[in-house]
Amino acid sequence: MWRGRVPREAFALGLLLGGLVTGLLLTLLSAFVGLLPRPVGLVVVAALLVLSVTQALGLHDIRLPHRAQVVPQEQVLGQASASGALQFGFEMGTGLRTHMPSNLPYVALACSLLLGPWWAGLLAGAAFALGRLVMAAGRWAHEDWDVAWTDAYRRNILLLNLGGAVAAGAVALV
Amino acid sequence: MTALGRPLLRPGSVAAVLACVAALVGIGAATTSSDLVVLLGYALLGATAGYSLSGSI
Repeated sequence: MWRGRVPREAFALGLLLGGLVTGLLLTLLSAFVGLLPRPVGLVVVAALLVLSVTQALGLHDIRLPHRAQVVPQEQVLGQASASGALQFGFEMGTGLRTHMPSNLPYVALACSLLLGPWWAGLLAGAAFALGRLVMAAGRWAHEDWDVAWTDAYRRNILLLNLGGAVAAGAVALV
Repeated sequence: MTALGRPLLRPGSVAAVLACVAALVGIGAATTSSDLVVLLGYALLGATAGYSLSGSI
């Protein structure tokens, strides 16, 4: 990942814009999907949560549909321009064009669509982008970030699933 | 980058911080029905989901 200051800021801005666009889309969709009875939403969220946690535990490797296509870094980042970084950040921030090694984003998606108030999608979308930005900041701060992530992958992904499960329980039950 | 910022950005540190926030949200959900808990819950859902894709850049 490039290290120039302007591209970093453009990348961060792109991430947040992408997350907000996805969040806005979720908010619009929730006006229709949110009409489903709450018990239906609870069942769907619970099923997705079980799928995500059991995958994190290594019990299976079922991955829900995603657009398994990375952003063309050679083309976008090779230019090292602010517009390229903005585009890369935006595509990552939307979450619509990325490999998904974890099913946790689907839990957030279902909670926002099926259980949440109108602002839930916007908030979750912005927080999703921030989560990705923290990852990018970690890479900028530590040369060995990839190695550290891979070494502790199972523990980290379990912690994240635990956090996601508690959060899903909180928004479902409060 | 501050002296505190660098260690906090380690992969394990971020996951641990998010898990601690989750614990607080869980305690909040168990003891109160505040809107703040719901707000933090959705923020946490989004953040954990975003960070869980870390290996997929």
